[in-house]
Amino acid sequence: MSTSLVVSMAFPLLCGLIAVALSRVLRPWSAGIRIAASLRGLVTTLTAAIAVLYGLSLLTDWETKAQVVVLVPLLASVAVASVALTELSWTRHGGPRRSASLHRRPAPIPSGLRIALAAGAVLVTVLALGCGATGDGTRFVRHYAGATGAAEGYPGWSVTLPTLLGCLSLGVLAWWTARCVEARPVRPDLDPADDAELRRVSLERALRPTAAAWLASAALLAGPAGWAIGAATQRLRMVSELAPRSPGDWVQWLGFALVGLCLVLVVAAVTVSMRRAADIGATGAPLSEIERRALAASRRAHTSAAPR
Amino acid sequence: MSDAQITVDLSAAEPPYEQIRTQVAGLIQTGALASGERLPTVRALAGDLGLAVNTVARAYRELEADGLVETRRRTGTVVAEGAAQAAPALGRAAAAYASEAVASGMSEGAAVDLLRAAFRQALGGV
Repeated sequence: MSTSLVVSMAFPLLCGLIAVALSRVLRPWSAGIRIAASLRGLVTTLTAAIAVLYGLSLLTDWETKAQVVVLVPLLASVAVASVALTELSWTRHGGPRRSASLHRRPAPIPSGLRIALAAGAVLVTVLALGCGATGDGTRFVRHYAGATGAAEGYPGWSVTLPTLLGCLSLGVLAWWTARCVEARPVRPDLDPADDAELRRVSLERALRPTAAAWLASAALLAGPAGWAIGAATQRLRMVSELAPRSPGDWVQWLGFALVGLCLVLVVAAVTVSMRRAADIGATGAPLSEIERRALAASRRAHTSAAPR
Repeated sequence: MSDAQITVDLSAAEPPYEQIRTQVAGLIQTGALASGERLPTVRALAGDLGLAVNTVARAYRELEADGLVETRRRTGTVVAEGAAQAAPALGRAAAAYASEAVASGMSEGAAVDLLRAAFRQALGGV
């Protein structure tokens, strides 16, 4: 548990630190978003490979097998860190004379995404605390009139605590990234509406993986918990004639509800992660074209600033 | 919604926070920034100007101390109620004066000195 706990806390933070360090190192010669995009691909591939290898190394017993759920917030952290890296790699203002608008930049988050974030945060917290408090290691044990029914695969503290800490780290990283998106300098060569669109898309690129990871983590806690409750109930009935039976057994219904919740959450997580922000800017041009123009302007800024 | 712009010249003798303060104060006094209008966050303005966050924060603090802006928990920094005191005509006159000074090649310091002298003369004549 302690190793996975440390890794779950350290991994998102490490990704964030790498992102910040790379952006700081590369800023003097970075051409902006192109290099940031290359780095993002590289960091994503490497960290995903490390995460998968880590996950495979855990598949030895029930406890470690269940801890694979921790990988969900870790992988989402990579996606969020890549957005932060992109934002930090934009060319900063140079030269002695600098202008800025006093117009307040709105950072609208779609209401559906806002709901997904809130629901994901609440559900993963409630499920982690609830499962942790009722599990016996990775077992769910049900007692009735001296008889006992137990099932493996229940997410106890050894699973829920690292998951909770991973999700918390992801939330902090997403919050910091949102601040980077807000503070990113306006490109003076871009239409203000297009600049706002680029900012909105960046915000969604950071928040969608966060919401999806929270929902998926909640699903991966609810599903095994529901299944283990059902299995423990069946075993209890096999050893005791007096054990509660359907339809009046609320514990079994709770198990069914958790499995149902798992399915709903999986669908919600996939929907949230698959939905893409609109890729057309406010002026009608594709955002890729707007980014290309921003990149060209960023290059020009570097070129003109270089001889000084 | 405001389209007001501010410019900071790092080569000027006046510190950047003071340049921000005087320009925002001027925009409020002339009504270019209306009461209740939200200003950008300290981090956003610092990012746009390429300045340290503390520089912009100091300008905002001094504007708040002058009663020109106020910071609210939910909305951030906004132009204070009743902060605009000067007539808009004065703002237009100031803008015209500045344009004339720039057109005649006068430096900012010299233009301000001239204005200050005229101001003292006017006070003496009252």
